[in-house]
Amino acid sequence: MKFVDEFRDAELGRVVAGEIVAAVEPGRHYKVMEVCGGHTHSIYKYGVDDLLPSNVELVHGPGCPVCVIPMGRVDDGIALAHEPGVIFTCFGDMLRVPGSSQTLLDAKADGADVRIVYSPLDALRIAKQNPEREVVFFAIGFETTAPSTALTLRRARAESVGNFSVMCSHVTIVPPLRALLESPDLRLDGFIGPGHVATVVGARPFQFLPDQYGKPVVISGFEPLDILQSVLMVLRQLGAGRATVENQYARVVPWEGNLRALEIMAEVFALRPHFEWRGLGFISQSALRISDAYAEWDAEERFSVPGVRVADPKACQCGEVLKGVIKPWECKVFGTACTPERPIGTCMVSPEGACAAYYNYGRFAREREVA
Amino acid sequence: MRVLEVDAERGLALCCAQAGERASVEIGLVEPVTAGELLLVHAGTALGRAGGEPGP
Ligand code: SF4
Repeated sequence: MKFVDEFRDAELGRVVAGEIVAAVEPGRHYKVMEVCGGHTHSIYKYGVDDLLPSNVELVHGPGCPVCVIPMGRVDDGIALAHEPGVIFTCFGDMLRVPGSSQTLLDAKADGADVRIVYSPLDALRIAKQNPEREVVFFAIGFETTAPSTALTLRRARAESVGNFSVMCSHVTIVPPLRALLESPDLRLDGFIGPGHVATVVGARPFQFLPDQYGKPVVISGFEPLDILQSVLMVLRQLGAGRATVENQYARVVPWEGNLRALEIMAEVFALRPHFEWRGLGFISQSALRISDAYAEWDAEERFSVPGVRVADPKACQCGEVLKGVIKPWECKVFGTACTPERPIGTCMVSPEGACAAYYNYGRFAREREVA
Repeated sequence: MRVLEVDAERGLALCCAQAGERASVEIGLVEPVTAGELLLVHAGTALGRAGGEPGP
């Protein structure tokens, strides 16, 4: 299929890999962060990093929606799921995210009515089919999923669906990037920008990376060749002493984003003053709540949630993985106490989590390399 | 996902993923769309179209 096959062409991949080798200065070590979990997944799935010279290191960033949800927030969801009469809906990935004492899957086994949905619109449909029940949707994700929640809330209001509400845990991508750049334990040379988030917000919000921090950023697609090309574009900027925002994914990402989506999000959501991120702590203005105009559909207004902050388990090093400070295999419990079947941390749950992606694909290549 | 059929009145389109599975997609953010177009879909909502200049 056009737009896919040509971006998985191994021969073209090797050509770009050759250009990457030609673009690096020997003796210089490059650290390029791929912000989005979708990129992390592709990198391990297709072995993109195997094609890079050893002095070009890809550092995994915080853009995995499930990974960044803090434990206290999972507990809030579980508390809502246990409310009498509630049908609690969420994306499949959220079911196995550990809360402080159980997961949503455990809650379901205990009798809570927890249902997986593919989109918030499915949750709204369930609400319309069950007018005698309260249906709550656990909304997570970056600016890629927030528009879907916003449209659903608009529909709920237009159709006066009173038994539907949203527990809003949407987050935004720019504040954690800023927080990472302010942290002293990470030195990054450039960024592979999140192509799907940029489809919504456009390329402009990433301008602060070159303007304020002197870091190149290339908005990238998700196929292996997209990622290789984006790495090459970052390296070429570095080689030329330039730092700017470039759009490798122009076949999908308009420079200004999706204005209609931004407008609807501005109507339905408001910025939270601060929000806790798993392993990263509280980050100001980094998450969305339901706006006052839609408060009637805000699950946190309708029900009382515990809202208790819970510290991550001691063994968990997800924060360091999310900041790119350590690689998944450097976590002490990786692949032993923490596996996709029995995760301790969130990065092992979603396919976009660095630990899960590495566990499922990358470790085999590494084992070959080490052997 | 590729658009198979458009229901403009309800703001939905029947779309087909690469693997062949079909889904009803909210198209309010990208309207108007026509059958045959490729859309970028997240959580059941089309966010954009894959219609610009391809990379290589
Ligand atoms: S191996 Fe498990 S606990 Fe360690 S960082 Fe990964 S997800 Fe977190």
